Amino acid sequence: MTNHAPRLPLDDLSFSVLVDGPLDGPIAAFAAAAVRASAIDPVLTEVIRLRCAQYHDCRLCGSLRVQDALDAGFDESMQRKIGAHEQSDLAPEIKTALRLCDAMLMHPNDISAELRDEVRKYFNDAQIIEICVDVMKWSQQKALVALRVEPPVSSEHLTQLHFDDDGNPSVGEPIAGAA
Amino acid sequence: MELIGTETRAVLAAHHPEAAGEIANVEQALADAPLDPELLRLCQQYFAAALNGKAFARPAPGTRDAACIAFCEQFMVSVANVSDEQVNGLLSHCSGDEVYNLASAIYLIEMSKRLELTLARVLS
Repeated sequence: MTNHAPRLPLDDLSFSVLVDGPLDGPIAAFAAAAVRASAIDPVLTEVIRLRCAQYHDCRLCGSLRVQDALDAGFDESMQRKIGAHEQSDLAPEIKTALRLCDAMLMHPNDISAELRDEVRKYFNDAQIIEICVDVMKWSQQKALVALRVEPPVSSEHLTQLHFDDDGNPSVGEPIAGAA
Repeated sequence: MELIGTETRAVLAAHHPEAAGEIANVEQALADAPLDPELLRLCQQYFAAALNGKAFARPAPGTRDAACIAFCEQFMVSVANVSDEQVNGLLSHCSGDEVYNLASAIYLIEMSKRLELTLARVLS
């Protein structure tokens, strides 16, 4: 994990923007809607979230693990395979979703017919749309990364991330044995 | 400002209506935000060109618009490598509040274009 000083000191922001910027609420509502969707399973959602975190170097996102995904079987051995997923033994549908994620994050206009067919082999339209909306949602922190105002919750350990039924996040307890 | 086109909006409405509704709310928030709409349109034109591999007429060097497009370019290619100089370039023309809000707006404009291009490729 890289260390960065904030490029936009919080002292430079007015209280109203710091507490609730004009776009923060609508972006959070979009994010919550993305989280509430359930066409794909929590483990795949977590894989996509962490791929976005890696790609954008979001220290905050990388310091968190979604508890629902942990409960569904996601673990750190899976996390370690995400960065080099092409060479991994992750399930074919997970690797396909990661290829789609990478294509959207890098060169969406170059998505090949082969990737399109592969994606449609494993996922229906609703699932494809949910994956793509998730990539947009889990790239939300790009604005904070650009300004380097996304410190990790802890640099000592991973921390639980919970979502309530409305899709609103809350930070939970440290995850024992995970760093 | 409209972040997505008619076809993408219809696809989202059919399969992910809550996201479609929230994107419409975000569009309204962008229109109401204390940001120069001409600057937001310039960002949208930049991402539309860059993500489609087309030419883009760059603003004159030293201007607010040039600083903004330089920030957008790095934001799009690798946000992890945005530099202090690129942020300071914006701060030389804009307040801290404006830079914070502009970074959020740029996220919305860029990622919604990526969403649109991806869905067009995969669902067509």
